[in-house]
This record gives sequence, C-alpha cells and structure tokens, in this order.
Amino acid sequence: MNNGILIFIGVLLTMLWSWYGFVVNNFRTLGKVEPDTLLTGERYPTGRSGAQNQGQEVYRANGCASCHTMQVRVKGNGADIERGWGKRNTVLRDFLQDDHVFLGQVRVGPDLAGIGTRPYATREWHLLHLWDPRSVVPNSLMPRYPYLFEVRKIRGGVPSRDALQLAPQFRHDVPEGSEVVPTAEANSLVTYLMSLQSDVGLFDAPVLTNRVASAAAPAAQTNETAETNAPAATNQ
Amino acid sequence: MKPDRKKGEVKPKRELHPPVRSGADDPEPSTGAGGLPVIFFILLALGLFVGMVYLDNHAGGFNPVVPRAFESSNQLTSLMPVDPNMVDFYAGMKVYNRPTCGACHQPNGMGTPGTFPPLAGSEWVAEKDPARVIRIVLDGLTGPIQVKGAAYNSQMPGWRMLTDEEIAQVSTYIRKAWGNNAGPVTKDQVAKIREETANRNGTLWTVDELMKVPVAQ
Amino acid sequence: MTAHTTEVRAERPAKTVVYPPPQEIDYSCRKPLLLLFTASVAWLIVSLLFGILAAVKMHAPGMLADVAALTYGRVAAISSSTLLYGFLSQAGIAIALWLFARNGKTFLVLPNAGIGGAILWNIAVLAGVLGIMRGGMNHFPAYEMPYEITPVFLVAFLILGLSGLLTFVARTEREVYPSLWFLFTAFFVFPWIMTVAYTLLGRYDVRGIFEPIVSTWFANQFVMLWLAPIALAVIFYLLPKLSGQPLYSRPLAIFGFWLYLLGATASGFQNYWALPGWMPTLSATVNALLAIPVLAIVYNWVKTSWKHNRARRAKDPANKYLVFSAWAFVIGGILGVILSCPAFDRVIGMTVFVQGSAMWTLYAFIGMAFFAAIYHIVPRLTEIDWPRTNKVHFALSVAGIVLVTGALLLGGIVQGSAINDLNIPFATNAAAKGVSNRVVPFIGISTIGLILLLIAQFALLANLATMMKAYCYRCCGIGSREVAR
Repeated sequence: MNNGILIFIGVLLTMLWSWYGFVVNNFRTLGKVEPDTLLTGERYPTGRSGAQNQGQEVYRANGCASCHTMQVRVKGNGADIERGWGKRNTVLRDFLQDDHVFLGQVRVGPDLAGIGTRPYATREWHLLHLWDPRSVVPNSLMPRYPYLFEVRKIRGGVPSRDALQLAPQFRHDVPEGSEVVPTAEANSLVTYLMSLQSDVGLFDAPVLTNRVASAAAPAAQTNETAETNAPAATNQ
Repeated sequence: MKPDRKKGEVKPKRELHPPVRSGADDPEPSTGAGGLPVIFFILLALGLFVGMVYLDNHAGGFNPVVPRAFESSNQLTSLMPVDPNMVDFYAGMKVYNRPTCGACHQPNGMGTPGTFPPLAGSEWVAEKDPARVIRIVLDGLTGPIQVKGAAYNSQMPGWRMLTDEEIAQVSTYIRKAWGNNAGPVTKDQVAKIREETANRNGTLWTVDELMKVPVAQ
Repeated sequence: MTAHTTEVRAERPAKTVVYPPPQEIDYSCRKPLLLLFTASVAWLIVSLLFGILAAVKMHAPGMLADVAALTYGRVAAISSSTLLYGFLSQAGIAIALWLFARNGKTFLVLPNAGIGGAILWNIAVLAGVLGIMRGGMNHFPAYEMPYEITPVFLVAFLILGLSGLLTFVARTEREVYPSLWFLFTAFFVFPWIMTVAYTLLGRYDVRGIFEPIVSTWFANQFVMLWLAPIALAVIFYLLPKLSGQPLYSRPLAIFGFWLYLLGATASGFQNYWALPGWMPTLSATVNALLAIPVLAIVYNWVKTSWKHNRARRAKDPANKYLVFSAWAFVIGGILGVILSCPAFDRVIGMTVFVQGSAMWTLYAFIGMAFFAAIYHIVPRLTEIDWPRTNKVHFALSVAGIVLVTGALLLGGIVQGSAINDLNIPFATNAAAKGVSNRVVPFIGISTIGLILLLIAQFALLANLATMMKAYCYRCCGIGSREVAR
C-alpha cells in the first residue's frame, strides 16, 4: 500500500462498483419503466399539469420535505395505512412523471403521499391550513405561511370570491375591511397537494384488504388479497 | 512577567502543555509490526455468509419491481386478483398491448378520432354473439363503417397469425375492458370460425359482407 | 555468496533522504489553512444559530412566520448545509492538506492558489445560503444549496484538491501511512459525487423515478466517503503520534480500510420505503457488516494507545476530542447495526431517531475529530500556544452533543411507537396527546444541547481569534499600536 497508483486503482474500482450498482444499474432498469395501463384503460401515473409542477416548485423552495415524507410503508410495517395516509405502499412508479421527487426522511408532520385522497382536505381546508395551520388542526406544529397570501383592501364592499373565510381569532393582524387572498404560489401548491393521490393498486403496490379469499383461490394460504382494480401484471 | 502584547506574546492562564511549536513536535507516526489476527477473517467469513443468506431471503431477488417488505415477485403475483374468469382477460390485455391492436385503437380503447374507430363502447365489439368480432380480428376490415355514430374509412390488417387462444383472449379483453360488458370468447369459437373462413385467403372484410354473417340474438 | 552480496549492499551508503523540518512544512501551509480553519469555525456558528432558530420555531410556530427567507424548511436547510459545506468540508480540506504535507514530509504545493480556493469556497457557501433564503433550494439530503453553485464548489475544490494531490505525489516519505489512504479516498470521491449531483440532480434533470436513488447515493457518499475518511485519517494520525507509539498493525489497517470502503459505498438507503426493496435491504445488511471493519479499526487504535503513555498523550489539548471521537465511531457503528435491524426499523424508521444518528456521526465522530485536529494543528501553524484551555469548549461540546443526539434518539423511539399506535392521533385532540406534540419536549432538550454547542463554539472562536490576533501582531504588526499611529 505504498504505491499511489495501486491505491488509486483500488479506490476507483470500489467507487465504480457502487456507481454501477446503484446509479447505472438503476438507470437501466428504472429508466425503462413506462406508465401502467389500468383496467379502466387510463394510464398511471398521468403527467403533471403546469399548475401542479409549479406547486411542486413551491413545495421544494419552502423545504416542506424537512417535515413531511411521501413514503407510505407496506402494511404490517407501522400503521401508515391504518392511519389513512394511503391505501397502499408508495413505490417509485408513483413519481414517474414528476420533475422532482422529495421522499423526505422525517415525519414531524404526517405523510403526504395520499393527501389528495383525504376527504377533509378540500381546497378551502388547504388554504386555511397554509394561512394558519392551527385554524383547522388545533395544536399543529406547522409554521404559518402568510407570505403565500396577499392582504388587500376589500374593494367595493364585496369580498373577493376566493378570499379566506377566517374566524376572528385567526385573522392575526389583518385589519378590518381587508381580506386575505391566496397568491398564485399558494394556489399552485394546493393544486399540487390535491393531486397527490397514490391510491391506485399496482402490481408492485397492491391494495391489500383483509377479505379472506375463497378456499378455491390459489392465494388461500394468505388471507390478504388485492382489490380488483390492480392493473395487469406488468412484471418483467 | 507581563507579556509584551506588541511582540505577540499571549500570557497563558496556566501551563497548558509543553510548547507545541512544530520544531519540537513529535515524530510523524509510522506503522508497527503487529499482525492481522485470524479472528477478523473468521468474523468476515461468518458475516458474509449470514449477510448472503439474509439477502437471498429478503432482497426480493434484486428485482427492481419488488418493493421493500415483499419477498419476491411471485408473492406479488399471488396477491393479484384471483378471479379465474379474469385469467383470459389479463392475458388478452398483454396481447392487446403487445402492441397489436393497441397501436391503432390505443391502450385506452379510444381509437384515433377520424381514423381508427374506438373499441370502448363500440356496438360492433360488444355484440352478444362474438361471430363478427372474431371474423374482424382474424381477417381485418376495410371500407366505410359506422361506430358510435361516427363514420370511419380505413383499413385494419388481419391477425390470422395469432393462435386461437390469443385471439380468444384478446377478444375477451376488448369485450370487457373500458366499460364494455360482453361475454368471454372461447378458443373453440375462434377455431370454428377460423375453419369456416379458411377459404377467404386473407381477404379483408367489408361491412356489407359482415352484415350477412348469421348472428345469434 | 548470499551473505557476501548482503554485505556489499550493507556497505553501500544508504540513500539519505533529507526530510524538510516540520516547522518549515507548517510554514508552507500556514496561510490557506488558517483561513480555512477560521472560516470553518465561523460557519459552524452560523449553522448552529440557524439550527437553534429552526428548533425554536418548533415550539413557537408563529415566530418570524412573515419572513419567507426564514421559514422553517429554509432555516433547517441552511443549518444543515452550512454544517456540511461550511464547517465540515472546509475544515476537512484544511486538515487533509496539512496531513498530506506533514505525513508525506514535503511542502504544501500551491499554497497561494489555496488561498484563492479557500476564498472561492466561502463565497460559494455564502451564495448557497442566500440562494436557499431566496427559495432556490435544491431540497435533497446533503445537497440543499441551489445546484447552480456546485460548479463554484468544484472549481474551489479543484484548486485545493490539486494542491493536496500534488503534495501527495511530491511526498518524500515513501512509506504511505494509513491516514493518507483515507485522505486520498476522500479527495478522489468528492469531485466525483459532486459532479454526479450537479449533472443528474440539477443541470440535466433525470426522471423523477430515478432522482431519489441518486440523491440518497450522493448523501451517503458525502458523509461516508468524503467526511468520515478525513475524520478517520485524523484519528489514525493523532493517536499514535500523541502516544509516541507506532500504529499497532499495518495489515490490520489495510483490512479495515478496504472493508470500510467497500461497505461504506453501499450503505445509506435503509431509511427509504419507496425505493426498490433490494436497495434498503442491501444497505441494511452492509451496515451491519460494517461492524467488522469498525472493529478492526478500533482494535488497531486500542492496541496502539491503550495505556500507552496516557499521561503524555493527555498533555496535548487534542487528546480529549480524539478519544471521544474514537468512541463515537464505535457507537456510530452500533447505531448503524441498530438502524439496520428490521424489527427496530419498523419503530424508528422515518422519525427523528434517524436525524439523531446522523447528528451523532456528524458532530460526535466527525466534528470532534476535526476539533481535535484544529486543536493540534493551529498552534503549530501559528507557533503560538492556545491562550486559554479548551476545558469549556470540550465540556460544553460534549454536553451539547449528548443532549442533542440523546434527545433525538429517545424522541425518535417515542415518536415511532406513537405513529405505530393507532390509539394516538397525529394531532393533539381533547382525548389524547398527538404524535407530533409528544416529540416537542425532546426537541426542546435538543435545543438546549444546540445552545450549549453554540456557546462552546463561541469559546473556540474566541480562543482562535485571540491566537490569530497575537499571530498578526507577531508576524507583521497588523493591529499593533505603532502601526495604527
């Protein structure tokens, strides 16, 4: 180990191994993945609209992934699915058409992989939640994002159509006669969040139910079987 | 003695350690004569063995399709819907998207407006008797045709080179997919029609000819 | 016959290599290194300030909410990127350059270019911080700064790295000591991974499906093959030197080095659930197997320094940090094994436990090793003793690190078991305390730890500043009353 060239070759080979195994190899296999065709004939996932992509940029720029993950774990590993964070585990295929993916590492806030499927999370709810999370989730730890909103005078005595309906204690320092209107950033962020609905059963992400399969079925050994909206087996 | 700050002397609070000036520094370290205990090789062999066994059982065969906590793609397949009536359907979907039919009629069965008629909701596909559908799949179609109230005029090649089973599967698929709701097609039905139409020598069907085919109501 | 030849060879005058005296070597690298060290300590303080701000925001979510530049996500990203790029990378480069020169017994090559590289590096870090504040964040682990700045880092590193590499080539001591293997690895890996991150995560966007894999790979290599090897080099260098003892075994060091390298390249994926299953599984296995090289490396250290000249070693201010860092390396290995155990991972996966164990590696192992190096190297560069003891700095640093990581590790277990318990709602309601609110007390403790760490770094900075002032007085009279007059 006194020869610089020898050390160089050794380190190069080790790095090449890792580089090939994790980067090149995955580029070759995952790079070929195509969207799935569902039973309904739709493709999954569909591409993101311009507003959704802009919303993703807002998600990125404000570091939302510091506190939120987008990784629902497989049933039996934690209570993610039972908590209603998603109907099935998240797979990379869900992000096939995305510009950027922020899986996140720490769940200070809840998982967002399926936020778009939760019934309470309407557009109004999201906007109120961004203005002040405590107005809809008491004791929330999330910071406010007032800079995503515009405070302006009510013109002509009639509030704007998309002004927030704020309870008095959550008006903060908005003066009387003014209204809070979401900016384009807030709107696109909400559009993006509402599009996060990884709930379609896939081959590698089956929607598992506890329905006991009939004795004749091949999968009778396990009492877990998938719902029938899974697409065809695209297994290579 | 008061330190002369102008000369850069700093009075240490107390004697910290011997002068650290590099002139009086310790020699650079070198390596000694110790060996490599065999126990490390034993540990390494043991560790590699356990690691390999673990990976063999839990890494999903290094198949990129298998997500974490699933054992293999076979396990995933066993979790697929188990309706025996759907076996042909899934096989047909694969035939359809080979691409054979999907190239023109599109994976979503909507066809290409103005050029290729849709299969989704098509009255030709979802007829109760599959006699005409099987004939079209076998020998193709040419000339004007009305589908869902729109007129089309183009050519479809025949797919006689597919096996009876494949034609039965793909017919089953298009008759059930995209909201269509017609019964399955069997291999025997295809074989019978293939026999009956053997003397066409691949002539494309026209709508007029098809209308003459007897169809059970 | 054989005896005769041997005799003849013995009679031949041995090729005498004249090694340059150490103080001249130190003199050659004085300017760029002092710049790098001072700047790195300053960035550490910036990082801790932002870290504390982020932690306080957990308790008072409404605080500074109107300022877009200081929203939680951005503050947290600034804290982590200034720690990684401002402090650890910068101090690491300086330490590596010094070790390249001292261990190879040659002068530092291109020292003046190194000053330029150091300035460029700091400009890049500053630009990165401002970029994050403006919302240009590239939110990947260990790669938060806007990707447009990466070329500046690469150019700065090209200068500093070339200086290190040429010094390595010009070494007069032909026996390559283990420290240099690790440093060589680090200097080889850094440009590679930065280029990969810049091209695949920034400039030429890859498909979304592929992005988390590249970013995780990058983050792992950044810590395991760029920062950690420098810390290992420091310990491999200082332990025998301070003990006045040669390193116990060279074959053992070779064994530990290659196995560490092989394992470290494949770890880092175990906290990810959306990736194809073989990657987290492989990483978990490799992480557990890393215990073997860790054992080999630590056995080597123990045999070198255990009870050898303990009193002599204790005289050096670096010794405390060194011992702490070496033990932190062992505990880090144990944490790695724990993280890779599936039953445990089910509980602590995606909780602050993961953050805590990363903090342990960054502060307790790598950071403390770098402090040891700073305490060892800077007096040799300036030829001035530390004006004050490092007792305050060491005690507060240790207390801070233990509080920060301990609170996060415990908090992670509490958080994880709460997430997995369906009876506990996520947000606090009238019936029960929510998951996130259960973590808050632990984050409070870790905030106290961060404040202690910050105070400690002020002590270090004060110590360093006094020393630099004295150095400037002595060297060129800058700041002395005569000149002012």
